[in-house]
Amino acid sequence: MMSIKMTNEEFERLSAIYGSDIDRWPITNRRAARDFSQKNARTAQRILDAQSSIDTALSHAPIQEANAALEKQIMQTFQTQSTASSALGLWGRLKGGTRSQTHAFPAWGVALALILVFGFVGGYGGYSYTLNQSDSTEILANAFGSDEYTLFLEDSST
Amino acid sequence: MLDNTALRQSRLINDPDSELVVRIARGDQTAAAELVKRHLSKMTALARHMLGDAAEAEDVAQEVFLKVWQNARKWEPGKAKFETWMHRVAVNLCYDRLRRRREVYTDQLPDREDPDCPAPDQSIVDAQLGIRIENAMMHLPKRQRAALTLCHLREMSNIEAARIMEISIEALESLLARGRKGLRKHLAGEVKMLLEK
Repeated sequence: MMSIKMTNEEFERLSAIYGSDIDRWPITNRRAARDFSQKNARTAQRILDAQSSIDTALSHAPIQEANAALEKQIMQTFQTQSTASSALGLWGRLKGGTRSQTHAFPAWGVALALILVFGFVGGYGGYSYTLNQSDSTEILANAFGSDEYTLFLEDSST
Repeated sequence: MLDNTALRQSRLINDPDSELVVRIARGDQTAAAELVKRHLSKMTALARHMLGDAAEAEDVAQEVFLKVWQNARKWEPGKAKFETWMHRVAVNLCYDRLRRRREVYTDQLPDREDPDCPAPDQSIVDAQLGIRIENAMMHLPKRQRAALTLCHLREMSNIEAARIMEISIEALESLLARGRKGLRKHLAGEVKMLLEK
């Protein structure tokens, strides 16, 4: 490793930048700095002492530890992002996005699906609006032909 | 886009996070959790030193990891360690917040205590000193603060810190020297008194 000759000025300059601990100085300067401080102990000590109060002060700067709640919150954000991007991916496929052309549904298919969904919801919603609750439940029971719905009808009538 | 060649390249620069990033790019939440566990404290501490505010520091840390999650695919291994990139993102997010923030710090540091009062508990002295240091740090220009934070508080090498700040070593050294000088000016008298207690 290349070692630089250390002068009084260079020692002072480096201490003003990196502080009083030579172990924290750039690795290329450490050896020369130690040699300098051995040969010029009093001068070196005076220079380092001038910087040590700032180092001590910095060592008292508040340390903020991460907490478990923050960790959990971040992970929840990832999950939300994943769900959102999955939904966007589905929407992209539905509208035939450029990234997945081969898997895109045809436009007529999307239109047909939308008509069916809105037709069913609109038709059922409009009709059920004219019925009371037990009537609409009966319609559901007939539509699904389920014993559970029949039981439910019996329970609700009592 | 990450591929095996890129991964091999990142191993060459000894990046302990590279494999996690590859998995995160594939949407692996376990890998994301591992990365959060590894680096959350560092990100929070860095942001706290830069912003002097605990809540904002947590917000920044959260934003850093969100950016990781969203951009893991775009990361190009082999150029720099992933941790360096994360620190760079954190520093830039702090710069943005400092730019937006109205500088409303008081010019006065908290009042000195009455010398006749009994000496407070050491933990209280440490906490008081911590507040004073933080106040003094907040008076420094943001780039000096970033340099001091990375080199003195996060104990990074000058090369790493310069890389994070995207500046030369000479520029970093200039910021460090001016930062230390500024800190000394703002803490004049206070530090010695508190440390002697």
